[in-house]
Amino acid sequence: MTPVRRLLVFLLLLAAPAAARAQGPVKIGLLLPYTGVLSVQGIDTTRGLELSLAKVGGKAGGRDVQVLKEDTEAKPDVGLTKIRKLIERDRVDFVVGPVNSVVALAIRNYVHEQGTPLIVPVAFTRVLTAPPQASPAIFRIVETSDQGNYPMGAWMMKHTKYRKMIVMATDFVAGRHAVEAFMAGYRAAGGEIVKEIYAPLNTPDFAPYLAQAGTTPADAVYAFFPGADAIRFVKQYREYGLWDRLPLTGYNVLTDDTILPALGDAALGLLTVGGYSAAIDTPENKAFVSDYERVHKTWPSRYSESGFDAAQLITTTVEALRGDLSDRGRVRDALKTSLSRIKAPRGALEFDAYRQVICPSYVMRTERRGGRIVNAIVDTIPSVSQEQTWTWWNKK
Amino acid sequence: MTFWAIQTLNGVSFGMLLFLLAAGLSLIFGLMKILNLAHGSYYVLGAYVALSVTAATGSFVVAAAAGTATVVGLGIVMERVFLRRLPHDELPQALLTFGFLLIVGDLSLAIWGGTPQTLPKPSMFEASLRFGPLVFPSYRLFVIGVGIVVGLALWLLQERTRLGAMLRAAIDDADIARATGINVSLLSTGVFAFGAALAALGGIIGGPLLGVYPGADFEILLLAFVVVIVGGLGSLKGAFVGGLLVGLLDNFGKALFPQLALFTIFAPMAIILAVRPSGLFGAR
Repeated sequence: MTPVRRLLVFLLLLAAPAAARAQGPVKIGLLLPYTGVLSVQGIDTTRGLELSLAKVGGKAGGRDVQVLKEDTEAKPDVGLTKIRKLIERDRVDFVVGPVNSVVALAIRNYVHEQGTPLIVPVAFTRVLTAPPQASPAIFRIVETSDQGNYPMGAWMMKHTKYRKMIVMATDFVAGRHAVEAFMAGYRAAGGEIVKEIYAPLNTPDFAPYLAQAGTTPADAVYAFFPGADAIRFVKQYREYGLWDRLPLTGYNVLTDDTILPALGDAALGLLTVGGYSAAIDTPENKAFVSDYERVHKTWPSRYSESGFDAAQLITTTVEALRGDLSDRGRVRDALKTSLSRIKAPRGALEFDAYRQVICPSYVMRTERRGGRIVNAIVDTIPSVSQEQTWTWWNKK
Repeated sequence: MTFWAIQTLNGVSFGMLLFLLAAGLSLIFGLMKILNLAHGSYYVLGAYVALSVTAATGSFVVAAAAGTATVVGLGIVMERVFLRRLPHDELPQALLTFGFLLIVGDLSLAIWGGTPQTLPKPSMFEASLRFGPLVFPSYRLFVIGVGIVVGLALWLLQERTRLGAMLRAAIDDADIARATGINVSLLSTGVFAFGAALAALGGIIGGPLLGVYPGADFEILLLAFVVVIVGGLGSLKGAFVGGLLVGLLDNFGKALFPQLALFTIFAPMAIILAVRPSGLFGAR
């Protein structure tokens, strides 16, 4: 063999693994809860993600896209085991998840060390994308509890007559953080909080708490209760006749699209703030809702929308890199710039310096429209960044 | 005044619901000394079946009957086919019923999905009643009514009928009861089925208030345990008084000292256990 030919063979050998990698599929690992209380969120996220992939024919950058699902069971220890499996055994290129914040915090250090990009679709704890926890490998496309709740305080002062409010929330970190942010925004705008009432997670009967709210002079209530608690709270709120004196407002978990059918008429008139409603009136959202409804016979939830965006973000990134994901640093850079190029049903999105999404918030009122109960859009609060809401808890 | 009236009514209605949830557990333990961990499953299954049947037929009564019948069927199978093989073996029994709890939970998740749901109320109890400044949901009065009726019926059954006498004899000493010609085996199956029916009724009556969702089985089981421990294992009177006591204490505790909310259900239990380890009406 001549030296030139030897060099050629050597080069071929070097190139072989890279070429083989480029031939194989792009792997997306889903780290979501498929069993237990949060399974609805996991399933909806997956449905949105798969819908988006189906629209591009399951391909990106000339490569097939393969989806691997792992069930976190919403438990931090299980989540850590499963993400290890996805990254070390399956060698996935991207991880999408998790739903709950405790799992997000449990896997944060591992993700940071490994550097495999993690796209967070649902978990909204404020610390995950704020220093010192923010990591170059973590990209979050859902608003933090601050971004959702803080601006609603000023909105309330500007657009309603509520000057004295009661807050009611579930007594664990998500609920406390949500109303804390709302109170900070409301007080900063000149409002007064006259009472704070916290009920434990899984409160079977809200009657004693409602009686306390009923005896306090105030203009309205701002609340945060998730899942089954939300259903009991909103229904009992109506039954005890508090509506006549104290209009109910809150974060959109109260009237989430997934629980609206169970709430029925009890939800009518509720004023909430959140990142997405299936009733958003834009061509992008209408197309998304009708595609989703054709496949699943139901409207998408904000989890479905987030999954849809996560998949779009990944395929756009892979396209931008022409399918070459061998350089982790370039993948992360591409992810960062790709978000503003996708067409998200909820509106324009972009990442801030900490890879936390900057997105619009929607003020909605629950209404009956043509036999269906929907979160009708009342107003749009333009993009709010997490940094604008840091002043009251994170002095950097 | 309004505050106290409302809170008392709340406490009583929650207490009656607790009684319905706990009565079956207590009854089964009393006769068979089986701590039935699948009790929460009966609640969930009764509520889910009732939910499906309501959606199909629109009738609360038909739904209640279907839900109860399904759960009674499960109860009979559990007792005849499985628990029969493990007489007087507490640990295997507990494990077996725990297995049923997990299986029913996962099957329910597969069939009815993970979204929390609530049972619709019978339409006549949709509204709230108003007495001046006092607003109270009529459905809660209905729950109080059902609790009292079931409590009375159970008391009459146990104290005033031949069946009740046989039951009491079997609870006191199963061997002697058998020797006097009482069919304890049949009685056991009957009691197990009846206990399951009571739990299903709890699910159907409680479903519109508490809702039904994955994990509800464990929560209900915990509530039922608290009531049974306070009232005394195996005593129906205990379940009734215990339910009422826990309901009232929990309600007033939460209304007056909201910071202690996690505490109000378990504090009475701890105190009673310290003073009377066998509960208010527990035997021995």
